[in-house]
Amino acid sequence: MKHKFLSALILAIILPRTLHSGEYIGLGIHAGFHNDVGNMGQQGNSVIYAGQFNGILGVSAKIDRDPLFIRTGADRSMVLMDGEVKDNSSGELKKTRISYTSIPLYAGINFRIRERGKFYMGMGPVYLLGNGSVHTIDEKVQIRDKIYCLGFITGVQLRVDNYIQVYAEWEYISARSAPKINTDPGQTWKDYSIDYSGHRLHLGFSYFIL
Amino acid sequence: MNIQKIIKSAFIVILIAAACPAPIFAFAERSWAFQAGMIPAMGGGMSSYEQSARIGVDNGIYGINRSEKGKSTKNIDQPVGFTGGGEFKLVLFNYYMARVGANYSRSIYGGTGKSLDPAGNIMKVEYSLWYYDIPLMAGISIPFWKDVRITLSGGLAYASGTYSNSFKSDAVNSKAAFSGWALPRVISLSGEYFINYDIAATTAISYYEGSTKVIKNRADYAVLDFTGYRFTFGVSYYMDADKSDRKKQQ
Repeated sequence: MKHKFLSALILAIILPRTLHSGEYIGLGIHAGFHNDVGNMGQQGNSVIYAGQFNGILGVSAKIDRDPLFIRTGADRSMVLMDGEVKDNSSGELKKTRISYTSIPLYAGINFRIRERGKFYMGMGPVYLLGNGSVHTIDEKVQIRDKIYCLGFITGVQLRVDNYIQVYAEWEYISARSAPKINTDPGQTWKDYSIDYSGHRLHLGFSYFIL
Repeated sequence: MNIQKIIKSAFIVILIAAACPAPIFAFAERSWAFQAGMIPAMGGGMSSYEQSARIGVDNGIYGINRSEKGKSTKNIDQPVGFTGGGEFKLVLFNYYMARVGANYSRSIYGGTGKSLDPAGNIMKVEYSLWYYDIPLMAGISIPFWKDVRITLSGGLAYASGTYSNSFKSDAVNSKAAFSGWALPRVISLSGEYFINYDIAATTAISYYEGSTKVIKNRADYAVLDFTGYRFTFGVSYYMDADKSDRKKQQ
């Protein structure tokens, strides 16, 4: 059984190479970043803070049927630099360590750039799973979020050979959680929401299996 | 002459250009386009004086959500908007572009829910907004073979509309509508895929940045913020396509 599976896998990889790649289905891997995760500046104009900076590792699957495409995948966004409030300008909030996984499903239009590659733009729903922690003066609160939201993507893919292309993408997602912590010591309610909105940049390469 | 009049005059000039016979535009291709799409986050913060003074929220919708165990609140999401409209374009000397458009946008999802007022009572919250805008842009438009054109353009828009909010609880009862206009800056990246020689499928990402001056309504004050991204799909029709055979552009 194990051998059959391995044989099928090898055939699946090798067989398409015997045909000319139609650039129909590309599987990609990319790295990127998301600056100012949490958008702490939206807490108020007077908040003095160092924005959180996340690195992104992701995989993508893009199905092209020119001029249309569908792109999905999964991105894991991990903390590289904590978000930090430098004074008491945001109440009890002191530090953020927000991570998340986003699973988008974009549809849009490809624009062929002669024989060198494609420029593409699309939009669609995103399923976002947030985790990590938010720190107040007194406590550390673990985050667990599941959010359906909207995003859009625009990118360029350039041909390296018949099967491999490099791609660069700009993605924007708009998403905000329910309140997670209390930042007002005079109250008992939670009033600080995690804002996952913002820009992401990706750079990677894809392998066209068909 | 103020800038509003300049934009309105330019709008009329370009509409006249659209009606002119083709030989007058030997150096240009004329195109009409219609598009519709979404605004993922509409209206900016939507803060107002009453929210700050009576509810204790300085940053509008970014800080309006409050929740407490045992109280049935409902999250108030940033409004998602629908946008749709049309535009007239002139592609000049094959690589430059000038365009004027007219778009209507309104919030269709989000902006409503239940939070808590300063006394801890359940407070019903509603934010909504609509506006129209007339962008006037110029930029670079690059054809790739006969079937693709990618355009980067920027300019100003005349935008006008209304932002409304409402907060109701046992202790708070506030309602206001703020109408005004502004000249937001616009930048747009768009692509056209020619389905045949004169019709193209289009997509565009546009970013508007700008808000009105502070507007007063009864005892409340706020601004109407046009800032945000728009993503649209559409169709464009090139009126003079027969004179500019796209195959020659290869």
